[in-house]
Amino acid sequence: MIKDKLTGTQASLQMFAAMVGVGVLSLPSGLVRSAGVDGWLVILLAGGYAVIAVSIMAYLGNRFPGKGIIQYAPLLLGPVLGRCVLLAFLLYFLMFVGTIVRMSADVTKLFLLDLTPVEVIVLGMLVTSTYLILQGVNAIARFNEFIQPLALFALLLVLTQTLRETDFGRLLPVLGEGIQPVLQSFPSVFFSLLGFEILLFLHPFMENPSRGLQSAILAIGMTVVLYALLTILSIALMGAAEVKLIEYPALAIIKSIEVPGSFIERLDSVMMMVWVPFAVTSIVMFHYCASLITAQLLGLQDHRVVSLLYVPIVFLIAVLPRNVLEVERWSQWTSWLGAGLVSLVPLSLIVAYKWRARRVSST
Amino acid sequence: MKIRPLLSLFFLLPFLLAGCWDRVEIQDRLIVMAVAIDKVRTEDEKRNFYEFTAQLTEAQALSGRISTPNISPVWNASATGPSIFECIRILTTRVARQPYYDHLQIIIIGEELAKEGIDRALDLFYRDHESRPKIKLVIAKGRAREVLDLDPKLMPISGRYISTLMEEGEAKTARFPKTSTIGQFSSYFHGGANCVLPALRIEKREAKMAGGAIMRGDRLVGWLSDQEVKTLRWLNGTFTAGDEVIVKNGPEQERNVTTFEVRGARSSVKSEIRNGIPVFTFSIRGEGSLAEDGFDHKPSLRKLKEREKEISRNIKENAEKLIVKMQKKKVDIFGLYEEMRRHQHPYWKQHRNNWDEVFQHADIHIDVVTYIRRFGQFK
Repeated sequence: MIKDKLTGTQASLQMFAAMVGVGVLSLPSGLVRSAGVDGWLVILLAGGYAVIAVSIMAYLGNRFPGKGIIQYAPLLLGPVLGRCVLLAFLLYFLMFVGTIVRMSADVTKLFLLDLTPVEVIVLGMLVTSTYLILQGVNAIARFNEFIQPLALFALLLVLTQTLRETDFGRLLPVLGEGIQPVLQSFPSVFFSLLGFEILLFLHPFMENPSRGLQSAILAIGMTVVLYALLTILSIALMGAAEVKLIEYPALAIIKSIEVPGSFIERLDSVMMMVWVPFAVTSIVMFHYCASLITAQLLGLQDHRVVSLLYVPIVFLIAVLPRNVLEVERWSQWTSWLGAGLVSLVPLSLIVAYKWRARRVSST
Repeated sequence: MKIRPLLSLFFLLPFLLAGCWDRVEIQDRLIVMAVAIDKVRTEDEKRNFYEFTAQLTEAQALSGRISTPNISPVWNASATGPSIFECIRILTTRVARQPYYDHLQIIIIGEELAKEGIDRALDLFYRDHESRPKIKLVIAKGRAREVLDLDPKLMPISGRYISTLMEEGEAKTARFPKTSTIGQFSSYFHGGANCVLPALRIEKREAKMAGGAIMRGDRLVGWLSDQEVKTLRWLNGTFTAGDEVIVKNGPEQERNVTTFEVRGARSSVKSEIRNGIPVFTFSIRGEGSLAEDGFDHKPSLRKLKEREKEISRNIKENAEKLIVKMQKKKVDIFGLYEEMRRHQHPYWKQHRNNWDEVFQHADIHIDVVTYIRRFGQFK
C-alpha cells in the first residue's frame, strides 16, 4: 500500500540529504590525506562512478514499476538470497545510522554542547529523526524540501566570505604524484558519497518513476560540486599539509573568516546551524528504509512500530565505540559494507534480470 | 477527558523554565584578550617549562565604560607549568572568575621560548575548539609578559592596544610581515616552509611593532629590520600600502629625498632548473604616488621616469642584499620551497629534505618595475 508520492525535486533533495551528512565537516581532511592536492579530482571521479551505479539502479527500478528493491530482490534472486541481500542492507542502514549519529554527537559535543553527555545528544537527534519518520515519506520529503535549500544557501553564502584569502596556486601541481594516489584514495572518497543507494527504495514512491535517474544524477551532481568546492577552498586557504592535520577543515575555513568592524567576529555558528540539519536529515532516510525493509520482511502493513523498535538498537550502536578513533573504525566497516552492496547488488540484480528475461523469451 | 493530557503537560512545563544549564552570565566571565607565553627562566624548576600569562579583562571595560574606577578592569595573571593547558587550569586556583578564551585576539611569545620552538606551545590553540585560526601571533624581543604589563596611553587594555596596532600598522605601512596569525603560521610550518613573524619591542610606555622574526620551522633564528621586512614584502607581493624612501648620497643630501607612497604591489616568481640548480626570477610591479618632493616644483615626464627607475633600482638592490643574507643563513623565507612544490614537482620531491642547501646555491634574479601614477595637488 503506497499512497505517498514524491515529485522529482523532492526525490533528488531526499538523496542529497542522505548523501551530504556529517562528512561535510571532515571530508577535505581525509581526501587530502590520501590524495594530496588532487583530492578534488577524486571526488569528481567518485561522482562518475556513483552515476554509473545509480543508472543501473534506475534501470532496474523502471523495469519494475511501482516496486522497490524490497519487492523485486526476492523475485529476481530467489526468496533466500533476496532476503539475504535485504538483510545486508538492513544491517548496513542500522550501522550507518548508528555511526552517523555518534559522529554528529561527537562534533556537537566538541563545539556546541560541551557538558552534555553524548548519550543525551544521540537520543535527542534520534528522537527528532524518528518523529519525522513516523509521519511517513511525504513528511520527510517536505521537511527536506524546506531545510536543504535553506542550509545550502546559508553555507554557500558564508563560503563566499572565505574567497578573500584564497591562493588557488596551492592546488598545484595537478597530478604531480601521478594518477596512482588518486586511484588509491578512490574507495575512501566513494564512502563519502554513499547515500544515493536509497534510490532503490525511493523509486516506487516517485510520481513519475522515469524521472528517477534524472533526480539521482542531479543529487549526485550537487553533492559532488559541494564537496569539491569545500575541498578546493580548504586547500586554497590553508595548504594541503595543513588540511591533512585539521580534523574539521570545513569548519576551520569558516572560523578564519573575520567579519570586519565587529567585536564578536564569528561565522562558525552559522556553519553549525547549517550542519546540524545536514547531519539529522542524513540519518532520516536510512532509518526509514531500514524500517521499511523489516516491515516488508515480517509482512507488516506499517513501518512505524519497527522504526520505534530500532531506536534502542541504533542508540546502542551509537554509544558502544569508546573513542573517536573507534567510531572512525566502525564507520569504515559500515562504509565498506555499503560500498560493497552498492557496487555488487545492482549488478547482480541486473544480471539475474537479463538471465530471466532471456529464459522467458526463449521458451 | 481532555483535562488529563493538559494537566500532565502543565506539569512538564516547569522543566522548560530551567533554561540553558550550561549558561554563564557575561558579568561572570573574564574575557581573555591576549596571552603571553615565556620560557621559565630558572633552570632548577625542571617541571615547569612555560610561564603563561593571560590578560583577563572585564567585559564592561571592553565597551569603554568602567563602573568602578578604583578597581582595575585588567589583570595579567600568570602561572607556570609544563603545559599550556595545565597553566590555564592553575590560573583557576588564583582567579575567582571564569576566563573565556573565545575572543582571544593575540598570542605573544617571548624570545627565549621562540628560540626553542613555538609549535608545542601553540598546540593547544590549534586543538581547542574555543580558539580560532585568526588569532594573531607576535614574537616579542625580550619577555612577552612585559608586553602585557605595558600601560599604554589612550588605551587601557594593552592586549587590545597591540592587536589594534597590528591592524593599523598593516594597513598603513609594510614594516612588519603579513604572516601574522596562528593559522597562517601553522600552514607555513606544517607545509615545511619557513616564515617571518612580526616582531615587537618594548619601550617605556609603548610597544614598537617593527621588523620580523625569522622562523626556521618553528624556531627563531634571527631578526629582520623593518627595512628588510619591507623588502621581503616587495618580494612576496604583499606590499599593499606603505612608503619607500630613497635618500641619495650627494652633496645636497637633504633635498634629494624622494618619498614614494606605495599603493599596491604585485610579485610573481618563475622557476626553472638549469644544470641541476634552481633558477628563480622575481618580477615585482609596484604602483603608487609621489608623497613628498621629487621634482623641484617642475615636474616633467623625463624626471618622472628617472624617479621610477631610481625607486626600482633601490628596491632591487635591497632585495638582492636580503637574498644574499638569507642564503648565507640558509633560511628560505621567500616561499621558494612552495614555489618548487607547485611548479618543479619532480625536482622538489628529490630535494625536499635538503632544501636549505639547495636554496643556498639557488640562482635568484630580480626584475623590478615601478610606476608613479600621481604626485598630489601641488607642483
